[in-house]
Amino acid sequence: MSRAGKILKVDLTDGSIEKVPTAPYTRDYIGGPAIGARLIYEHVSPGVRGKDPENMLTFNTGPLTGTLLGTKCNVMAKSAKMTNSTLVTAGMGGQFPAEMKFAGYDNIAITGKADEPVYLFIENEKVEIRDARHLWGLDTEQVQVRIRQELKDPDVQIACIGPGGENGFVGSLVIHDIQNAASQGGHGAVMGSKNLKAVAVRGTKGLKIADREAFLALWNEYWEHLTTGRTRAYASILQKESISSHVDEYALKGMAQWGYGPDAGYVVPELKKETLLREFDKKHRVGAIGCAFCPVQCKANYDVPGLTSGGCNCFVYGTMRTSVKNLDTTLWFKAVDKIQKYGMDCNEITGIAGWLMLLYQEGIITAADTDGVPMEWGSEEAIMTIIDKIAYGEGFGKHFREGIVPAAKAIADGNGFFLALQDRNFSIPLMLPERGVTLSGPGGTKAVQLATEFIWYHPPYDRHGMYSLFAPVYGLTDQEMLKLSDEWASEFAEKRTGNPDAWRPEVVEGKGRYVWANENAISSSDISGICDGGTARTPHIGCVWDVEQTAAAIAAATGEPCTTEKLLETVQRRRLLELSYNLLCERMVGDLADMSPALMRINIEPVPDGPFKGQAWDMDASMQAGEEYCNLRGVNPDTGVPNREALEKAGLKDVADKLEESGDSLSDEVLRASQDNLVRAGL
Amino acid sequence: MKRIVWDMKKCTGCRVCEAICSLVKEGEFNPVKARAKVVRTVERSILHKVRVTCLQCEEPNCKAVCPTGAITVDDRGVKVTDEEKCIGCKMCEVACPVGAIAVNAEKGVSLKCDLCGDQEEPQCVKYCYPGALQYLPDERVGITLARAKAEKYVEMTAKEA
Repeated sequence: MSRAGKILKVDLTDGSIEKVPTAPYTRDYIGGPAIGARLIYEHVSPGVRGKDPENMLTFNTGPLTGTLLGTKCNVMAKSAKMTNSTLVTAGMGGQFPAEMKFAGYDNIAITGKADEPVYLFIENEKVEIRDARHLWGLDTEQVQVRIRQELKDPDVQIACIGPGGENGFVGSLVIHDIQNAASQGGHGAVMGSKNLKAVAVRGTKGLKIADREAFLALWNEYWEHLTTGRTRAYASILQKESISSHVDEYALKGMAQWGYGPDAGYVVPELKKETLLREFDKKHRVGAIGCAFCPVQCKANYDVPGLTSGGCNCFVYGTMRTSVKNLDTTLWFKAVDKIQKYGMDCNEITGIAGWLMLLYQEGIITAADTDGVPMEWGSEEAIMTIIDKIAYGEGFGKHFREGIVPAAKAIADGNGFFLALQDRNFSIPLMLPERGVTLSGPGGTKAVQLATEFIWYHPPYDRHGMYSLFAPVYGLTDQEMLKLSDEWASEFAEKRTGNPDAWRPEVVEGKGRYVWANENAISSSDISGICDGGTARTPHIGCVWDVEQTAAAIAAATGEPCTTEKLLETVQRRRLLELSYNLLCERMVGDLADMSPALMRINIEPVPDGPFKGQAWDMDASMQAGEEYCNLRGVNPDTGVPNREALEKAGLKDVADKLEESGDSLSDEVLRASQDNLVRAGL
Repeated sequence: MKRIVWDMKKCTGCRVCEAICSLVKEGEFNPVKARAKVVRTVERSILHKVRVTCLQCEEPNCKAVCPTGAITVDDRGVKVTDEEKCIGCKMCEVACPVGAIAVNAEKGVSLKCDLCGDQEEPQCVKYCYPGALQYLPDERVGITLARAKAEKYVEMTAKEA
């Protein structure tokens, strides 16, 4: 039915191509990253590092991908980071995921390493590994144009890498079409390490729907939320404006740090009307872009005549403004567009740029450390040089191949690391000032640190930035909108935890269960192929689609029995499998880096200024909430190790046995391997 | 008769019209079997989209060339295909001046928009989120298109003023 029915496995080392049925995996794992995690668990030893040929790069659609309710696939692999090669996942939308299904594949799993650059071409049954030597070095826009020309098919859908991924930069990503990206985790570098420039796919098959009437009823429910229901402001604003352009709204309300580092405050300089990103948006937006069959089309398509054109969405792109104190909106787009065309993660590049500018301001580095370019705040020369040098691994850029941690040693004699905002060796350039009880900050649990993705809990902290955007859509004042937003969050919290205040930043009671419920909404949408953007992940902005609706849609589309309970069991199974695998990775590869001292400082110390001045995270309360969460998941809060009972209940006895066999401490052999790993990473 | 009017400026290229069409008509999600198609072209990272579907020609080539008389005009004035009579010869596919007809290879019959005759309105119009599709009587089409252009003109002159 709505499944394509097959998993495509390609080994680039020997060129072998295998197609196996998806069916053996669907009963326990349903689809998406749950199947991806199982494939990796079965085929990739935890000792394998991200850029080793044995690593498996997977594209995982769900049973709803390619229907009116499902738009995405999750790209999953062991992280490209040498220092913590755990399993990481990143969602990617556009036309590619649906096209994969139409070609007949639910999942694509790529292992091995080609001798020379290649790209994979999939056209229904036909699967070819093609020469890509002539494409190596092209950016993500150029390579897609060339492949379409070469295949003589403008409708072929392509996921590719740019120079960033080719050169092994760990902050590189997989890009598809305009602006669709699988970011975080360095999947671009994983692709590059395999000499794989692109995956091009074309499909002409259909996805049959088992119960058309039931499916249409659910689609109508979803449609009503978007058009007349409480999700309508969210949907219409996403389509008409870029989220990135909202970063100014946040910054002006003291909701985003201005500058970078543990001491940066929340007071922004006066922004003139013509320098606001929303003005840039009005002037240069030429249309919306998005995923196949999604009514919302949430990304902005920009054209700046004489400069460049491309896409933008997502809040993180806005940090190329706030974190580097950049007042020039044209420079902002020039930078984020270049970063994407080089196939790199804006978050990581912004983090590096902000860090270098802070080091320069503090006198820790001089222009001599950065190839003669002074790292002045907001400098075009500095920003564009950083982007170019990192993408091509040239000059000072080569030190950043593995991220800020090794660069700190090479560039600033080790003196700069104390100012770097890093979590698990990823840059965290944007900090929201509202504090409270968190599971992912200090006092958070080991289990959270071992998660495969960053977004475990989307707290309604951002409502202060959102309410003035939403209020006009509902005909409310700002204060009325804030009140309504709080009521929506309370409604979800009461339904899921029994405590209507569980969502509030300062409340402990029910917080662990609230996070658990929130994660269930996100993970069930990942597994099914639904975009998590409009789900109960964010109840405070009116999103109500939750596990119940997703389960019913899977059942209607596939004809397979899928209840809410079954879907929740699958979410649990996926999470325990990923946690266990990442524990095994940590024990085999070692060195799962924690939060950097600077990020720890930001979290512990009171907010220095702005409307949230004086707020600090409540460590004891966070521990308490973390324990509640871990108990629900069946995980030891101190060690992050899933209980045998929980694993066996989830049908993962084999995993429990493997965890037990591996012991809870690193063997001498693993310690040596870990040491070797650190040396290789330049640490 | 009533027909569908597409506003290029409002269209986002989301392809919901393709998806709902193939679901309602064929019980599956399959752009190949959709009677409406959104042709997407990306140039310099800018998306251009054109919606292609039957425009209900007054003197339809498809009807003229059909060797079995499978394409007729129904009581609404809509050109429809009789799947029983259609032999899948593909003459209509070749003759259509806008590329709106394709033949369903599985069934061996031509796929042509019938404006969802069994529904209150075409389903693509019902689910067009940006409001790029309208279902209008013939006599209102001209003024609607003129109004869209005029509003743009008003906007431009207002800016200049």
